[in-house]
Amino acid sequence: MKKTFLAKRNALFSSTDISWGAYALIFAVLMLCLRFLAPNLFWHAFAPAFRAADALAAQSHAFLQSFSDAAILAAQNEQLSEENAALIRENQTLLKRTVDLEALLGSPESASAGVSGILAGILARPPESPYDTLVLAAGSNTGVVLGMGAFAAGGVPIGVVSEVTADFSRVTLFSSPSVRTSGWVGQADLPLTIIGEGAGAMSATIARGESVIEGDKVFASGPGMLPIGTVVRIDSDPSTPSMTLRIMPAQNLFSIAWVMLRDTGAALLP
Amino acid sequence: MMRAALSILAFVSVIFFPWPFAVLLALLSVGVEPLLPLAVGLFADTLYYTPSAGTVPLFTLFGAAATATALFVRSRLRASIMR
Repeated sequence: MKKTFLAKRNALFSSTDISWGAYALIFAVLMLCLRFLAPNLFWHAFAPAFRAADALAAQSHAFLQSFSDAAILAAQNEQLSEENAALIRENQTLLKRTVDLEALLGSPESASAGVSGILAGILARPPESPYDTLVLAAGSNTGVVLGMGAFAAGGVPIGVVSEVTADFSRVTLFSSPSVRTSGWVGQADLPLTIIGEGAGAMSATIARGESVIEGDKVFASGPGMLPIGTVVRIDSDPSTPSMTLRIMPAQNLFSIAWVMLRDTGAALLP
Repeated sequence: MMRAALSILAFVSVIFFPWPFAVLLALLSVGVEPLLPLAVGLFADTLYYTPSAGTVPLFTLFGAAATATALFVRSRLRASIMR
């Protein structure tokens, strides 16, 4: 009598050896364990790789630029535009602060105390980082604590420190998906909740009747009101009582190399 | 050899290249290495995921879904009749 059996079906392992995918999975699990058990060691191990990736990106950018003068001029133009934009934002911050203080005190203010912070280099940023987070080469050894605000050039707030190890930390950007930030928009300082959409984008919903136009600045709290972006599009559906503001961040999150970390008191919030 | 190169490149791309490229590599490799999307997703979340950035580690979940789909398809393709 013929013996009946099922053919062997094993998609995980081959008949002779473990597949490369299984090796990869074992490696990933080991890395996960290392990150949980020894996070500082983990980041020390991967920091050189991130720095190499940064250097590679910079060299490839320079290599491509070297092909033509037009590319060099365009890069210089881009750099100057960014510096100009940073100065404009800084000016807006100062102007806003002056107006606010004048409204409060009735006289010009001269103090700008509390602006010192920790300068931190960025190891990983979007688009490599898919969740709109930054990995910084500064940790609790240099004074970084949870809840510190991260500021880009021109004093633009971009996120909050959400994880700290001894030598490294991680910043969750305001544009990170589903992250909510309180802010204001427009000349009338309308309060709104800014919601992260990922990939550097943000949005907010306000009542339809409010006077907000494209190009209005969006501010977040920091020391005073700090510009974090600009309204670039307003989605308005006549069937709903609200409209959605599409906000472009004031700082290009894909190209920043350094951030300033300051204690903004956010950790005191419940 | 090709499978080894693909596996290593997928892991390297998580650090060196934008995340869509890593996703593309993982999806391209799913036919020959079904476990690779899960491994790459787990590795990406190990590097970049933080609970404040989202409620769930999406890359691990999507990698697991891709792996489960690939394993299911492979098991169907390898099925044979009873003798």
